[in-house]
Amino acid sequence: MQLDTWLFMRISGVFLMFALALHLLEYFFLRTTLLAPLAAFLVNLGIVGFCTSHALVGFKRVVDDQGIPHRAQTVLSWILVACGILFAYAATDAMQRFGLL
Amino acid sequence: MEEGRLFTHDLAAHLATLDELKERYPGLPRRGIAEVYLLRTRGKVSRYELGAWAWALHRLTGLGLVAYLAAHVILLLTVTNQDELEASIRAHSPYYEIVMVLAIGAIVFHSLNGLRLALGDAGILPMRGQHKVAIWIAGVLAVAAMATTAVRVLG
Repeated sequence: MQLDTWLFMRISGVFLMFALALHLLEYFFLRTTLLAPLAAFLVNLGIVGFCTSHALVGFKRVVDDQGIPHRAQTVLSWILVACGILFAYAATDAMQRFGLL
Repeated sequence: MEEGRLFTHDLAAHLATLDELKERYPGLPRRGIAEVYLLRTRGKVSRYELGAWAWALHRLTGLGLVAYLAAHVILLLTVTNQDELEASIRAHSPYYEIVMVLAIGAIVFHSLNGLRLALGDAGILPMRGQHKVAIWIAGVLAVAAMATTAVRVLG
């Protein structure tokens, strides 16, 4: 299974750039949310999902460039998928407790 | 690999994997990131020095942000509100402000450099000179964001 998908990295990267800019603006300067509840929910959910997958796919890309054998890459891909699911669950849980989701 | 493509796209924008490179360059041994970059630019690193720095920084900031994101989420799991979060961070790390400043700089540079690569792939930034300007803009804005954050968290 190949996780390195060019289009996914581009789309998630552009989304994250705007979403994180908004997140930092709210956190540092406004200390409040600018978005309506539904929009804030979708943006936060997007940050959790896209941040996790973008980071893990990027990490695998770095590892790929080191010339890891194909079988090890497959195992690594599945480990990263499992990490991604756990990470997304943890982030979602934390955001729920902060009232962001 | 076309020479023109190398002029307008640095390594991070390139889709070739090491396996593809091995097909193009038989006899390629297992190599590290720097060697792969040298190979993909046919050793002309001096001519692409800024792109090389941008590529290396993109990788480093990406890896740094993976670690920061993991720490961020783990910390969030242990607290229930913003004040508790900041108190927890300060209790665990005397370097909170430094980490925050570096994280903001990494986010800004990684985002803008990623945008440059996406625009390059889309053909919107076809000239090598435009990439140079874009890299400088990304770097200057990252430093400006770090300075703003430093004033904010230290002031």
